[in-house]
Amino acid sequence: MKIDVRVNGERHLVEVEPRRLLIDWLRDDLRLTGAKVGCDDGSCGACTILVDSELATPCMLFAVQADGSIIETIEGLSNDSSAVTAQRILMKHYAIQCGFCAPGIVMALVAARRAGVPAQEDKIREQLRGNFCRCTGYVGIVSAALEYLK
Amino acid sequence: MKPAPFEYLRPTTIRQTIEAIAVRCRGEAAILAGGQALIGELKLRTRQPSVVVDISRVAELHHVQSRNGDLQIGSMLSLRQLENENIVDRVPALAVASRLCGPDIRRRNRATVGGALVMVRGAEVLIAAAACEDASLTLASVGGSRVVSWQDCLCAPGGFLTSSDLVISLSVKEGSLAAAGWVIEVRHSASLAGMLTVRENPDRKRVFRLSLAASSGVIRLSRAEAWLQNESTPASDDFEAVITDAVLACLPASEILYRTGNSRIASLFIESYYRAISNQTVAVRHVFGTRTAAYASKRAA
Repeated sequence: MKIDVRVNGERHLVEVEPRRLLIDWLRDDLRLTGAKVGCDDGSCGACTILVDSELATPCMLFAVQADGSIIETIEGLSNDSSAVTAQRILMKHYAIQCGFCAPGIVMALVAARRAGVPAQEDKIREQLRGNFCRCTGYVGIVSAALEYLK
Repeated sequence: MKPAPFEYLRPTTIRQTIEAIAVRCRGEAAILAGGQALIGELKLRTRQPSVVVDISRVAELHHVQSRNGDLQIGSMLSLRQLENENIVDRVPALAVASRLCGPDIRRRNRATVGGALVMVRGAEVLIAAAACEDASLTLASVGGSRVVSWQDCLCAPGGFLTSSDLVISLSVKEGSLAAAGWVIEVRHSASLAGMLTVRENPDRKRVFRLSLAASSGVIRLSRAEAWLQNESTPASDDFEAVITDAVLACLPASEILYRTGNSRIASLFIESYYRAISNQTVAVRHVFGTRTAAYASKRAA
């Protein structure tokens, strides 16, 4: 089936098999490997991207479902000053260790800032629920988010 | 690729959808709404339908509208949309429940009202809320559309659907929207949810609704509702009656009974649930006492 998707500002008019997962299409066909495959069932948030400005886990979406959508991945934010700021603040708070979860967390933080989520711990934890980090224990991540959303 | 191959259909109207399901697929199609349950099953190949019908582009399923005294919520509304400010004031119990039923924002962005009510697992809070709201579901198939009440459809989750049915909308009586104030108390664990709603009508009369939902179904605890309504203090033995009601209906409390294997322990569970809920009604009265027309979502127990 033919899909028409805009990824990081670039239009893709391509044929995909209906059973092709969006994450596989992004990583294997477009070589956008910033979104990681962790749990592969939508739980861990390592593959988090924005689909039509909403947080989504492309491991639980077929590429055909994204037809007509605007997608942003972490690669699309490489020149976004807000995302770069998020990365710097995360590093400052020792909120990144192995880095596997980091792209998903940066996506969630950027979405939070765009949505005007207040710098309150409960709101931040709600925003980041679904972004698993097996290294840092979340304290640094929440501190970083508090500073980032201030 | 993980899922087995399938034919993908993406209808844009309800008519096209039910024809695709019933005629072309002879009831062997999987309906793809938000996909948060189905895609997992397809990936594990525990389901291998020959056809997947994606209903996300059926505009009629995204509507929220008033019709014949009902507020109809389209089945394709996402749980996140149900939390939206415009809807939260109209159906507060459902809005509060939707916030608690998806595990995180990402999945609530995709998971739909219709999908949650059909799949049930993980959506017990939403089902408890639907029971408190006296909700009904509108279904459509090639034979026409029909409306089923929550007792008929949610008491036996999924069992009310035939393979050619499409869930069109969830309806709530408009009367329940005319409340002067609401208080909502929710308690939920992994597979069990209880909800208390207290609605203050414009004449200041308060209406108590209490429901208990599990994967096996949902009940309204009508005896306990009457105790709350009358501000009476039930004796411990009275809770046995609640268990009896549930066992007779083969519903959630009987699941507790099954787990505990003892009706006395089961009734103690119901009693502790009721006591915890009724303690919250003190807070309810305080909220109404200050004449604050508001609803409150309490933390999960």
